Amino acid sequence: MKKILLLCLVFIVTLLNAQDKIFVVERENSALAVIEQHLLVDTIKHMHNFNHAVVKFKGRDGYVITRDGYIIKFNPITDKIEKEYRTSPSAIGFIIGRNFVAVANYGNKTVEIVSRNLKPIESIKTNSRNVGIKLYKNYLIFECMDTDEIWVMKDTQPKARKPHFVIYKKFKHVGLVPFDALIDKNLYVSGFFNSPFIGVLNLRTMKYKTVPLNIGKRDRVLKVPHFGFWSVSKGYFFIPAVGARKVFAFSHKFKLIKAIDVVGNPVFTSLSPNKKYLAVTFSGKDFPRVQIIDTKTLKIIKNFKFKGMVLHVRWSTNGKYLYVSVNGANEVLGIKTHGWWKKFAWPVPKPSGIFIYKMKDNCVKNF
Amino acid sequence: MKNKSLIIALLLIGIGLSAKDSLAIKVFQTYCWGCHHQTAQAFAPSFRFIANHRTRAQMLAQILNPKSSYKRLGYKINSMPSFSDLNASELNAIVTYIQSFKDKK
Repeated sequence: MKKILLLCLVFIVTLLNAQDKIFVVERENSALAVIEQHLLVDTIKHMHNFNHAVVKFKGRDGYVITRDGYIIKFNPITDKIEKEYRTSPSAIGFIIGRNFVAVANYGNKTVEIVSRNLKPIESIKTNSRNVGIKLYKNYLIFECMDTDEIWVMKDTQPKARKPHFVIYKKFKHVGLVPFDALIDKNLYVSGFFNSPFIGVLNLRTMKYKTVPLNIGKRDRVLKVPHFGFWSVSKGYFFIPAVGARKVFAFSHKFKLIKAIDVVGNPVFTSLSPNKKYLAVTFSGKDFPRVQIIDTKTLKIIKNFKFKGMVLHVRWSTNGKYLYVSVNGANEVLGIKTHGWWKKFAWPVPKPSGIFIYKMKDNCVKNF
Repeated sequence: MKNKSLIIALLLIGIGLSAKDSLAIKVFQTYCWGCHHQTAQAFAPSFRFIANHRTRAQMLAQILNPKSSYKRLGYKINSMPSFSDLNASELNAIVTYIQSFKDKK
């Protein structure tokens, strides 16, 4: 009985103390900085070209794709690289399925399907650079940037050890130069670099429609915006404009609620975990700026100007902090969201992407 | 005396070259790096690709007036904005920087 009680106590203490583990891309060092308990504790090195590296997690597996086309599997608990495989000379995005990883490539003009242990399974040739890769049930969806298409691939053996994808449906002439997408339940939303609208594909009905954006006179675009699940709240889709100083707030039926004027051309729009705030980053001369929008009033409530280019922001899982990658100042800042003041700074050389591994979820699994 | 002049001349050349390099990096980081990578395909072609497939004149035309130049380079659509506001030094610096990624034969 005493042993059982002790074990329960250890479990509860471990669970309560398990915090987020933060991985920060060191853009020029081919490395991931590892932050635990708010301390810089480790660096995972030799990770190839880290300009535009993306990190994702599933269970106890961590994966990174690199600018020069590698997919790297690492253990986010031990910080050890386990395997790597080069899918092409240049990769841009990826998605992790139950028994596969799908990598969207610029180089080779393919989408590569590999196993969770990075063994090649199949190569989908699209004759285009590929972006906006997402999963919906047993469908894989992505955009072909050079041919203006959306492909929906179906896994014909979803319960098998390996997937096998076939073309289910192709949508042609969807818009000019699709550059990214977000997905919310059954809605796949595409952004276009050269068309003044977004595309909405309903994956249940396989019907596609466009929703106009009033961009107005277009600014010079110096960095392509990013779409993501982090811009979807209960009430709104927040869409960063391409070539305009606006963030569009749409209802879930794609009625435009407001075009929020912001200080520069937006790159990332990221909602806090409680969906109360939207952090917006920018490009060009406004690179050092971040604005915070109140999602109830859709008004700007805070303006930050940091000491250098801001390449990424991420909210802590509990929403208490906004982490900011100030690449130009070689630091990642932790801004306390109650009061919006700087609580701490981590010295990370040339930081960009910030990714959080939820230790709590995986400590539970360990038991 | 001759040696001193030579050393001063070499130092001045060195400073000049270094200033040019840092101007190139400044132009690259301000205007280009959001879409171009030096060696890998990104939203736009890499500098290595451009250096190996374009003349200096073609590079300048594309930087200054991409709306007129893109078709001649074989593109179906243009996504590049114009940088006609760069001055002569900036243009020279960035084109020289691009050319530095040409494959050595």
